Amino acid sequence: MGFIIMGAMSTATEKVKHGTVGIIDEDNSELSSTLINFIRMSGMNVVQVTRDVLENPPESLLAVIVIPKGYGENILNETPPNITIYTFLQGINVGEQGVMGAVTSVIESYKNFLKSYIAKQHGVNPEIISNPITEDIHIYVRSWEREFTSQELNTITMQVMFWPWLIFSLVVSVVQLSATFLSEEKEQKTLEILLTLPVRRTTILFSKVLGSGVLAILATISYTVGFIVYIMAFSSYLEQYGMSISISMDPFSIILMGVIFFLCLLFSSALGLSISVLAQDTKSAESLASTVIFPIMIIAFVIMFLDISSLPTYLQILIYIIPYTYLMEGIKYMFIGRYEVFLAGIVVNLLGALVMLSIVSKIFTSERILTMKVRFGRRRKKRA
Amino acid sequence: MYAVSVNNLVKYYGSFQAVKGISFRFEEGIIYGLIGPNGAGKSTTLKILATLLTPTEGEVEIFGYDVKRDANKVRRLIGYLPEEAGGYKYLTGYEYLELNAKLYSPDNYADIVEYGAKLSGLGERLHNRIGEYSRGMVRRLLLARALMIRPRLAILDEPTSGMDVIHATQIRRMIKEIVNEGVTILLSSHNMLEVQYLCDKLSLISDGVIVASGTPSEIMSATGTDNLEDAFIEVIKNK
Repeated sequence: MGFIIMGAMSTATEKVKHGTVGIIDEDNSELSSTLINFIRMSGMNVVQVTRDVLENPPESLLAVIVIPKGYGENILNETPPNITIYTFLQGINVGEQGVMGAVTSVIESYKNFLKSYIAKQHGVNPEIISNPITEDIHIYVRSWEREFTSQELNTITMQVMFWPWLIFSLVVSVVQLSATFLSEEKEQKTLEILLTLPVRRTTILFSKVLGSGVLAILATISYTVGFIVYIMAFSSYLEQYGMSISISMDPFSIILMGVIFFLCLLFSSALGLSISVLAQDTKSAESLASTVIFPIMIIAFVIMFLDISSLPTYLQILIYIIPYTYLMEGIKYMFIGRYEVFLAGIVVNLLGALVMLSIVSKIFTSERILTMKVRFGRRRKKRA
Repeated sequence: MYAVSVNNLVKYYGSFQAVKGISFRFEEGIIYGLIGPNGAGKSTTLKILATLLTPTEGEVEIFGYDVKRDANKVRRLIGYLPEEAGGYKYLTGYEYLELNAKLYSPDNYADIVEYGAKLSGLGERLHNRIGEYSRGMVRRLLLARALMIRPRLAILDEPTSGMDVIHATQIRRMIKEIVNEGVTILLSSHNMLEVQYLCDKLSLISDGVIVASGTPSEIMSATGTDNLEDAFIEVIKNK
């Protein structure tokens, strides 16, 4: 994800850097020349074009700006003139939006320049025109016992809304894949032979867990790399427009988040394996996995929109014993360098994985692995 | 010491009693048959002997080892062919034999695999993926797997099930030959002619109970019949 965003951003930057803006100057006044020079000084190539170009704009043109007749005169008469901007996008995506933003931001800068110019003409301090009131906004989040800027808060909220969906799909895949590890042996009818081989059952189980663990490690690596690249891409995107993520992310928080993520996937693998010992075939395993995982994930998702501390105590306890809660909470906490949620998450996820694995081990080392059957659908009522 | 000794074996699945206190024993180097209709308790008994299930009551020993207490030791002595079994469909037959041989003899598995390849009779098809095999070919591969390690006891549940006449005959011949190499065989079958041809001794089992035991000729003479099929029907009728 991070690589994709970074690629889109760098393509957009390159496009803006080498792109050309066409100008149809119907005014030919001193003020219209000022606008053209302003655009040129922003680093864009500027060419004079005619209206014919709008019929079939060449690929090299990012935009065409029409400066109407009377533009300069209107400004001097204190009547806002209207300029028309035609932007040409290849499609609708984040990168192309960057191209559009680049053109409009130049015009915005020019407006500010004009405000100062007009204010000076009237002997007024330009600052009072552009910012008649300044404000200091202090946002204090009680449960985090910390103050944030609105930009910081927006950034955290964006992360909290974005990452859970990615994590959710990954967790579901891990549970579903692990759920087929033993159920596929049952379906292919290889399990009975496997269990009579001169290998301890705990060794067989360990190798299955190892398989899940490798899956979890690969997923964690891809998550960590993706997250770092995403943040880098996002920062460079904001910097392009004079903004920045003022929250410095503590590397230790990223590591702790990685650990939680790994343990959460390990728990998911263990959960998947425990489903696979119960299910008779892969189809049942996948259905059972969905049945088990979705309600758990829904609860974890609820916390995206609610503050846990505002819930009744029993609900708070319920939410905090769900290992996935710490993934969702961790995303918020990694921006503020508070570690208690990570430490609790490590303990809960580790315990969760151990409990699941001990259940699997208990079943796998007994005959229940062959005789246990999970039924789907309603049981028939006994006739009286 | 007996190759297999089963004493008063009882097995419950929940409240259902599948095996109702059966006892039998036999010495090393013979082919012993457990014969009976579907649901008689044959497969359950064989699964207990193969350490897959645990007895609810009774004692079951293989070469003096208790199947419950010494399950890991028993697994080193046996080769098991389940009634319904498959192989890993993405492996070739050869890779499958190799994988199994390495578990029994990590340092000297090549000879075992070669023997398994010969037993299977699959020739060049052994290098095809198991997913491409017919049911009969899979059965031959699995039987080769169970026998290639020359186990002290081969437990074969319906070894010729799903095979055509030609391949079933080859399998019977294979079983006869491997006994000469010191392997003891315990098998189950529906096919009375097969049992009559293969088994040195047998037990007839019906509804979880052994109804007759002995050599095929002893059972036939006791029932006044000239084939095992009639003998079995006679025993069940008089039960």
